[in-house]
Amino acid sequence: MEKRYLIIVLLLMSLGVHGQPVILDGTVTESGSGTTLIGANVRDMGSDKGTMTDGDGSFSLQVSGEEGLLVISYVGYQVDTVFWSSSQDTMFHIELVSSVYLGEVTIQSGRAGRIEDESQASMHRISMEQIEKLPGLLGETDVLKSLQLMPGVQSGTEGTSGIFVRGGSIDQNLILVDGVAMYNPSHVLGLFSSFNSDAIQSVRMTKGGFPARYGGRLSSVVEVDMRAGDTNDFHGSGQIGLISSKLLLEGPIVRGKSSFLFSVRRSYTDLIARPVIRMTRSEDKEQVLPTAYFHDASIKLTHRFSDTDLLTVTGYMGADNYGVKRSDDTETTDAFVTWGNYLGTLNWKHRINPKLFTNASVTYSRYRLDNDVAYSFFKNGKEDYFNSIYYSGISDIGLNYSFDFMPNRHHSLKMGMKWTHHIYSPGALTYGYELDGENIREDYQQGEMTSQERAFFLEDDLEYGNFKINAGFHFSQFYTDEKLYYSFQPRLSIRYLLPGRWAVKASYAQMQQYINLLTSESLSLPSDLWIPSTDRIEPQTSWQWVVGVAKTLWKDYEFTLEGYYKEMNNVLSYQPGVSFILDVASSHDWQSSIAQGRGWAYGAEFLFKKKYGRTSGWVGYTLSWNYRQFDEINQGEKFPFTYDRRHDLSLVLSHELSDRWSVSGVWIYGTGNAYSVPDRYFPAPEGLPTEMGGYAVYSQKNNYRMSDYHRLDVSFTRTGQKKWGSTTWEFGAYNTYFRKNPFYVSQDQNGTVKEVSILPIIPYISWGFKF
Amino acid sequence: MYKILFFLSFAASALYCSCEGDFTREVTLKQIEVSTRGVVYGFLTNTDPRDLAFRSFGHPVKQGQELAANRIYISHSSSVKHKHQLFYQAEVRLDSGGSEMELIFNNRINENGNGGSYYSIVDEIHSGGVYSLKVRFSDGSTETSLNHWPEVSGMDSVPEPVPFILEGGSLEVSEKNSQYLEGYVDLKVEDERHRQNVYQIEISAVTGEDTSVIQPGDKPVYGVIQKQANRVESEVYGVLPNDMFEEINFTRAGRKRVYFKLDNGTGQFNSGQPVRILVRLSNLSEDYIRFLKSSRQYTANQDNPFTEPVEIYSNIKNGYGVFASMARSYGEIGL
Repeated sequence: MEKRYLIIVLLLMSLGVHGQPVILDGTVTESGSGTTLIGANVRDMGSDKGTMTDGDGSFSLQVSGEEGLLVISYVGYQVDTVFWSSSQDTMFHIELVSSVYLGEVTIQSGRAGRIEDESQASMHRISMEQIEKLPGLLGETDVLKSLQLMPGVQSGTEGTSGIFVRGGSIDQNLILVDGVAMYNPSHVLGLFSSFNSDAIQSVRMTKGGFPARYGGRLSSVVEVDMRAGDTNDFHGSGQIGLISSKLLLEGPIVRGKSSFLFSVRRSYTDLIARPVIRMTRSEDKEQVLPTAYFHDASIKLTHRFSDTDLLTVTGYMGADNYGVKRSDDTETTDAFVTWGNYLGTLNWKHRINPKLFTNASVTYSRYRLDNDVAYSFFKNGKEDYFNSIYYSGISDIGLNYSFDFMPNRHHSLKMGMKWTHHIYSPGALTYGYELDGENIREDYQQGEMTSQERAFFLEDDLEYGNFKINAGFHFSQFYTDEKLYYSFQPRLSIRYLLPGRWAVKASYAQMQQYINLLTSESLSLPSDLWIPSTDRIEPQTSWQWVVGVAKTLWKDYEFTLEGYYKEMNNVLSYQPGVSFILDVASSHDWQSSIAQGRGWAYGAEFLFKKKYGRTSGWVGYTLSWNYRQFDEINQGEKFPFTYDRRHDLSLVLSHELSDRWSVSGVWIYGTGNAYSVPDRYFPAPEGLPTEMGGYAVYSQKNNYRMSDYHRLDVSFTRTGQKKWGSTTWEFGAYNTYFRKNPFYVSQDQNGTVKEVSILPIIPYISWGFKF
Repeated sequence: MYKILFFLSFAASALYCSCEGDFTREVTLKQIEVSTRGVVYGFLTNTDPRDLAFRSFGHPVKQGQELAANRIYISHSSSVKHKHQLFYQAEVRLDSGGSEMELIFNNRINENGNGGSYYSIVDEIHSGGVYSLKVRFSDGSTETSLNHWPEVSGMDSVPEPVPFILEGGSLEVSEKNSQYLEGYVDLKVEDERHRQNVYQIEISAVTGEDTSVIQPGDKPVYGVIQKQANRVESEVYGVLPNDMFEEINFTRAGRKRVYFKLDNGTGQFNSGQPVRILVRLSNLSEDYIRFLKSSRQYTANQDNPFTEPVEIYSNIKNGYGVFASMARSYGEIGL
């Protein structure tokens, strides 16, 4: 069937008669379901002023004149235009129609939602539609892996979901799920992210030029907005894959007013393995029962009391469980490790008047790891045993209150305050054993620590002519261990529009971080500890400059080029030689195992992106340098950070072959991570405590590079329409050409180095449905 | 259905092919030019005839062995693939207070070309003195041709000995195993200023003339009878593993109880025999402490993947090793 493309050429610049300012506000939702659309672009063509919908799909725009044309656009939806004519503040309820339902007609608008219109540099908005097109590991759509394809964002090691942004470490990213911080955003040691993509509305990442409302982390803010349920009809979707399956249900509670959305996901490798193990071991006296799975579930309830009041409640829980129970005539072993996140938030949004909105929320977040081992051995009627219990974690309870105020058409103020009570369990180890009559029990309770964090922010969005400025400050206080820290952090972002609509952007931001993750640079584990700043551990600080240009080209293409320079102070590392088990988990003085130093990161990022059309995708490239310096490490000399990846390139392409078939591919290239290889040996005379007769040391920390990393992922999707909904078959492969990308490096005593990889080509197939 | 079967067949083949062979790959690292550097070990201390009670001769011990004091060892660094145990002669100058000190070279090269050749320091070492060392590579220092390495140097100041008294102690045959002696001594450092460093304690047991040899602690050291003038009267029965402690380990009054265990590996200990316990307290210089801690950590972390890499401390400019000092004080008590 012939495809028709209708392009609306907007010739309405003459619209808009200068007069008294009026407020145009309202909500943008999906037609039919009533689902709020977050990040939809709303622009008044007469005054050429625009804004975006917030987390509740609301917008507010102050314009001059008595009539004009609002253009509302959102990726994956038909552009809507609304003519307005009024001298008074006007509220709109705009419903956008999904472009899926349009069939053969795609309408594009050239003016709404352009990157050069935003004052904010260093920000990425990725729609779920774009994310779902990308091939994922074993068919799992992964939000964090999608962010890793953006310039300036790096993955850690092979297969991990951790992100390293502009030279920052893994704990310097604030990951917010409906406004609540999540401390461990991944399953299976980082192979999958903790988010069920079906339940997500949108994802935004800010890497620099942070507006004043953000604080507490140095390198990035990732905002994941959960989807609200359909207020009119019941819907569902699901997927069955090789390793996991998921289900989502949504619908109205009170039609037109309130809704629910529930999603659940579970993996089942252990369920498959157990019967196989039983069959293969049916003759053995030994019984083995493995446990290896992750699961997560989320729920979101929304209720719109009126046009002025919206209440939402979000809950999330996710966990990983790995272990084994093994028994035979003489021995039993029961060992497991489990970790998980629990989040909750209650949010109330109130519109006092068209110029003033408030937002109040109560939040809860908890991350905990438990590791239990019990081993017993029977001999001659006697039992010897060993058991250990280890747990660690962090919990937050928070209150937030903020205002959005537009005094006039040039200013848009945001002001707010936050309070968070943190509770830390930085590792508690208890072990005991009885062996040959000797009974030992050791207890290494670190004791809970608490802290209070308070913040106040004020920011203003100003627009004068070709200038757009976001200026403000973030003031924070942190009280712990009878020590008070505080910080005044100025923030500034400027955009100037040159002729030809080239936007020049610049920003400056100071950040301070009070909560830190103790992690080994070479291996990040769920047992990594979240610890507060104390009287001996100072808060991490940073300042960052960004300069760049941006422009929309040929209506569908975005071009950005940015350079950044960032300095960090009081970044953390373990001291040389520290053992996590001996010096941290079972020590009463873990703070002496920590070194603090400085970091530098600078580079340039390029992004060329096509957002619309049958073919879409992007090219992202980063050239960067990244260093650290600690007095106690590398003789105090500066050294390359482990994730100092000089070149990073992502090629992403999606194409709709037909109404039913689509294909997508991702090719990633990056120079190898840095690591330390002992390259020097010197002997030791008799009497020195070394069994080797000498010492093998590295001449400089991180003196070598792993092999370059590259891989190709492809996927094919076939969509079929049914009477009751639609189905999709998706199949593809991760690491299509078998590249053995290194996961870690080992060196034997002869000095031969081996790179070990873990993920070969992984083909997958999954079946999904929607109704 | 056929499409699914086709895909599954393809997937199985792909998995099989990619799993052929292991998941490791040997890489040849681009060798960064690593220049040869000089390696120096020098440990200075005051001496006393009672040191014989803490020394083992002729039998190597992994830990707890006395690190021979007032010796200087010279070697060089190499790549990890070309390890060696070669210590040799070089141009060495040791100064104190502007005066050069006398050194005697002891050649210990064995038939394999390895060995622990060293320089002995003839003159006495004085507390409070500042000693500086310079070492230059010397052509023809060994029969093996070696790469030149640039001059290295080190400097350290000898601490003051810390006087202490032994207030009491206890020594008993172990209830669990009569092969062991278990006990403690109560040590007191009266002057608070003398508790502000890191110290090493060593304990040795000396008994009457008895041909049985007690194996000390967990690390057996065979004592050797030495006829001494004055203070050490009879056989040496061994030394315990070193114990390092610091100010926080003392009570406010400067007391510390040190527990020890002696192991009689060759015969039954006669509980009726009087035993004299010798205690040697070494006040370590800052450089010595940092080196000892890092080298012990290095050994402890071998083959443990959950540790951070260890950096061996060195105060040798342009090279590796350590030039460090300590001051010893002694005490004894009969139990």
